[in-house]
Amino acid sequence: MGGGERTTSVKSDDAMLERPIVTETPPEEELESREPSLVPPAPPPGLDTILYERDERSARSDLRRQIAAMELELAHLVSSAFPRKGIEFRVAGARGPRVLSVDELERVRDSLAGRIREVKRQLDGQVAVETRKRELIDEMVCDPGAHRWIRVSNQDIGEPGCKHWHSRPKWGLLGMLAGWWRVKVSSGCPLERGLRPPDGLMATKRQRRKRRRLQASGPGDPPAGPAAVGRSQPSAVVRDDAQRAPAARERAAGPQRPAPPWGSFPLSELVVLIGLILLVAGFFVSGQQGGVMMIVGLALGALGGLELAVREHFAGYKSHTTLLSGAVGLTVLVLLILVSPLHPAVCAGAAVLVFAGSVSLFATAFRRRSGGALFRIRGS
Amino acid sequence: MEATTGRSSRALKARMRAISDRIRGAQALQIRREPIPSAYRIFFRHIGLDPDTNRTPIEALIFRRIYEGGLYSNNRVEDALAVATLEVGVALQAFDADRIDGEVGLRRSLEGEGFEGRTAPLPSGTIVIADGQRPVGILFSRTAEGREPGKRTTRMLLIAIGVSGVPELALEEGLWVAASGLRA
Repeated sequence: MGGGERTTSVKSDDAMLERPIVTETPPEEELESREPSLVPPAPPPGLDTILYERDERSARSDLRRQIAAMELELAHLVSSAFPRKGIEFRVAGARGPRVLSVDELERVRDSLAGRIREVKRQLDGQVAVETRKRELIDEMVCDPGAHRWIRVSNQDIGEPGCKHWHSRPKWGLLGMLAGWWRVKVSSGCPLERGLRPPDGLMATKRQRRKRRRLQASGPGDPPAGPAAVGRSQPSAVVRDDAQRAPAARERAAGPQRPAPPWGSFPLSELVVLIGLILLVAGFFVSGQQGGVMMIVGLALGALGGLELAVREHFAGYKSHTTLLSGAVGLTVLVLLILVSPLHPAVCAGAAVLVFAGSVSLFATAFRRRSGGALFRIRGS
Repeated sequence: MEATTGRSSRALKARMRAISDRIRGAQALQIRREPIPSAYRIFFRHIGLDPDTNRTPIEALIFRRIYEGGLYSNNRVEDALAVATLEVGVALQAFDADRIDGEVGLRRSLEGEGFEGRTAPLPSGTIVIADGQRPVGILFSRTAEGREPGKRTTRMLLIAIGVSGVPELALEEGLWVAASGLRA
């Protein structure tokens, strides 16, 4: 690429380690101006002479240099634009491979220049939008309530990954009613399953049949028949691993979620749904009826949740000690306040005592059912 | 060099797997900024090819790795050339040495000149790899029919296509890696 400079190393007698002196050759234009040019401005008509080729050489060299610089700049833009989508980087070729004329080289250069300009314009536009989105994230984090349900993803700010910022109410419907909003940051990408391979790489019917046959015979079964002679057999370690794998998977999966006594009918879910509907409807219905609907809705929701908690807790699947104890303590507190003439502080003290006792009882029950674990989260 | 076609050796396949494991998606974008691949891209522009349509040899291999999820063995010759190209970055091509007459070099195709395996004559001025008699390949494209290594090949001619910006040492290393792959 270019060059245009000559390196001359001069060594003095007393200092052999001196740095080389670099001298630059004068530019070609300067050389040409010193002597009158022998090259005519254009070749004689119909005569393709060496002079004409020499005349084109500097123009070609310049154009090639410009194309090289632009190609490098475009390559830089391609890598800096990732992961933004929808930007066209292609520049059409000139039906090569062949030696392009000066005109064609100029066209390639102009196309590259145009493409670079277009890419930069698109990038600038996208960067402005991304900057606005970044500012929006800051605003959302500062005041989630003022940006309800707004969701900004990594793609919106020109970054890779599946992370997104979402302004949502805390504790679902309850938070929405109470105005407890927060920005939830999700960073999880869905599990990679890979792209479907190109058609040419898909297994043929024959390959699929062979794979199924192998799977059906199982890794532990030695292949039968004369074709099996000389084929490598799986080692004892491989066969042992294959036998242990299902049991290990079961162990890793842990105990299964306990089934409800009424089978697969989604009773709890329906109760919770009805509770939610009542809750929302009660929010919009004015007067005493609305209040009753909300209370019943809350009660039904709590009932559905408690049912699941009791089932999981006493199956040793997942501990709900605090929740269940809290429910018992709260019930005691409400009952005492409603039916007894005691001072509310005394009622609260009694409820705390009941809560503490319940914690001990529920923890003991869970330990007994789960085989010794004091607590277990999500059945792990 | 004395070499035959056929299946790749285990060592060559293992080497391909090792290279395949090293390639990541980001490389497909970043490779165009590295010195040797960018020199090829620039040369493609100079000769009227769009390197995003007719990919440079190393980019073609990297994209193949990304799309197919791995580098799968085809035959010894293709595997050896792929390994050398991915390791060094230079463009390589193999011919059946017994079917090449004289020295091989680059030239422009003549008016109405034919190309084995192609019914229409080559467009005039196409840059071809030619021996003393005829074009044996189109630059950065296909090899003439019957001139590529086949089942009866016993001697091979490996060529490295050097362009401005690719050091001589890289070309030699590419040839050496490909030759060692063919011998492995």
